Amino acid sequence: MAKILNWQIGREMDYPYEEAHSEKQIAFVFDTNKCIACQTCSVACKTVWTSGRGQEYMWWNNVESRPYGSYPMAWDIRLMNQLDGQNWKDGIYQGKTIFEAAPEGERAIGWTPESEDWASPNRGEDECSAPINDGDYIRIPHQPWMFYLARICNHCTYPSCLASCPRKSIYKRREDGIVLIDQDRCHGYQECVKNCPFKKPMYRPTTGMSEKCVGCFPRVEKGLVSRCVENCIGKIRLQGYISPSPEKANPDNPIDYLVHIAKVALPLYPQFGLGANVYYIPPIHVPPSFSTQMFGPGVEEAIKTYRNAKDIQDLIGLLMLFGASDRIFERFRTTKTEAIGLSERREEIVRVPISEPVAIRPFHDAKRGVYRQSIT
Amino acid sequence: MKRAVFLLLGAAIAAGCGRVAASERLSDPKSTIWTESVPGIEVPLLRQQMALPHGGTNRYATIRSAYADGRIFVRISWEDTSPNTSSLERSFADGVAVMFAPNTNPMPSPFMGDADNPVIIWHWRADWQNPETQSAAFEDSYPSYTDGYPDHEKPAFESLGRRPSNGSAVMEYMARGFGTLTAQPSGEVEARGYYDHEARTWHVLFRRALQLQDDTMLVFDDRKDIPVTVAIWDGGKGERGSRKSVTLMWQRIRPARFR
Repeated sequence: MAKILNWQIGREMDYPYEEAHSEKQIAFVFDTNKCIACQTCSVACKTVWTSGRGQEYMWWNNVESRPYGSYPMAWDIRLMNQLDGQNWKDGIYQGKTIFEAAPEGERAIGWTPESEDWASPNRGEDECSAPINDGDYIRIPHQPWMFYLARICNHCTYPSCLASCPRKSIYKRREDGIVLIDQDRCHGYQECVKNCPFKKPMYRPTTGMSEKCVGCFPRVEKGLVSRCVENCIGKIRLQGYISPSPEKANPDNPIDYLVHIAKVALPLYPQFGLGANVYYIPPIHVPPSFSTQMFGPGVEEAIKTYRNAKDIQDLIGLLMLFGASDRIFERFRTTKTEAIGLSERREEIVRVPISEPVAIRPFHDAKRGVYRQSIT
Repeated sequence: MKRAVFLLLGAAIAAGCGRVAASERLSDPKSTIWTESVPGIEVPLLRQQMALPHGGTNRYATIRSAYADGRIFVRISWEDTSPNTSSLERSFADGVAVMFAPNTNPMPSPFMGDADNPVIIWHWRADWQNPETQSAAFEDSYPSYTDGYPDHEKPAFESLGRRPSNGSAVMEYMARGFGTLTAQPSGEVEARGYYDHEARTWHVLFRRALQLQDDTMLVFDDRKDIPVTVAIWDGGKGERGSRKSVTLMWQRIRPARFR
């Protein structure tokens, strides 16, 4: 076992392989406050990648309705039940990662889903309800609460799937850190399925091998965003590359800015110890006691900063750049009125206004002979 | 004189028939020739606890083997309360593997061989024999496949090399240590399994010619005994890969000789 410095948990941890970083590390930021669970991302991915035989149940991209929904069933709860003491102190994780908690004879704690666990991907969307009692009124933040959690493979820095494969059939690409299951080497042992906490490797019975989100690497190689990112209606997703640690963060790098500098984008279940690379802007109307277990101790600060975004030029500008282009922009800059996505060499890729122009129309339009009513 | 010739001819025919019949009977894992005419050894298998992840059960298996008709036959039997023949659901399929040492001087490590000295493994699995779960053709598994590289003459990968093709139920591998298992098909090894429901026992029969024309790595000499190791997987207990029961040491088998 090697010692790795995992910045997401603020300490060293055990991992079966030595510390190593790809030349660039693909990373994503999802703003949970904008997701409407239209599932366009899920269908985009399925159309491109999982429309073959044996893949019918697979959703490499899925959107689940929290708190009650999950795909596969209870994937996080069933793992957290095996992991005691997930406490933090001063930003340092005090408990064990899934590698450190592994029982004898295993690489990590995990569990294997049954067929039925995959059968209800949209469970929880309608279950969020509570009785209305006499005298109740709607208030904000409202009870009950819910939010949508869109998930893809996190292309972890310290993947559990990769660590668990006894044949070394899973690897991280040197150029961008995308994690792939080698279909020439996989023997279908499903150790990756058992040990991925996020349950993104999926067994395909027709080939006898497991598959997972490939990060749309053929597009990434051309500088284009993944299909799920491109097709997102709500423009909740940003894709780029993250620097390996907060010390190396570049304020011109969009992902670094949101994760390391503004700290509005938080890792998913950092306590598992995988260094997941999909970062979430936490839902602002959800009680922090829930979100903290899912996104770590930075939740309350992230929400505070996010609520003040309009007063932070770079932050509000960058938020306007989500979904603005089908090309990955690795740098950005803002002015008072515009945000510009740039290539690594600072060539302009996309330019958006920070606020749209406002036009106020008169109540009486003489030319058309009509009166305008405000109906909002 | 005529009578003597007739007797000699008769004896020759009988001997000829005996030889062919034995080979045919030996090719059937449920044939009674195995228990009638082929002595066996009972070998202990232990839980695999050397390479992660650990698994398997402590159990026994019986190995019977024979040389006949220019071939080697190895039948392995073990108790299993319920047969697992499908890998479509989450459970894994039952399986057995027999491992040989191409070089016996020195012997390779019994733990999947070693870097200097490889081993050959014949691996049978119940779902490979099951017509419902046998290997699908490439087009069936990837109906939407299009090769995006126009200058390639063939698809990026042609065969699903993780499972046997053409209705075979056995994979042939070479290995040089943990995690190095690599398919090395000669195409000449055959295997057939039979589950005896009354006795709740699997019998799996492997057979191959003593010598192959194109592949000279593993050659059998029908005057000699052979060291083997055996591994067994109970799919119903989630056994697959390194989660297996293994004979930790080389076992010497003495194939019965049928002339």
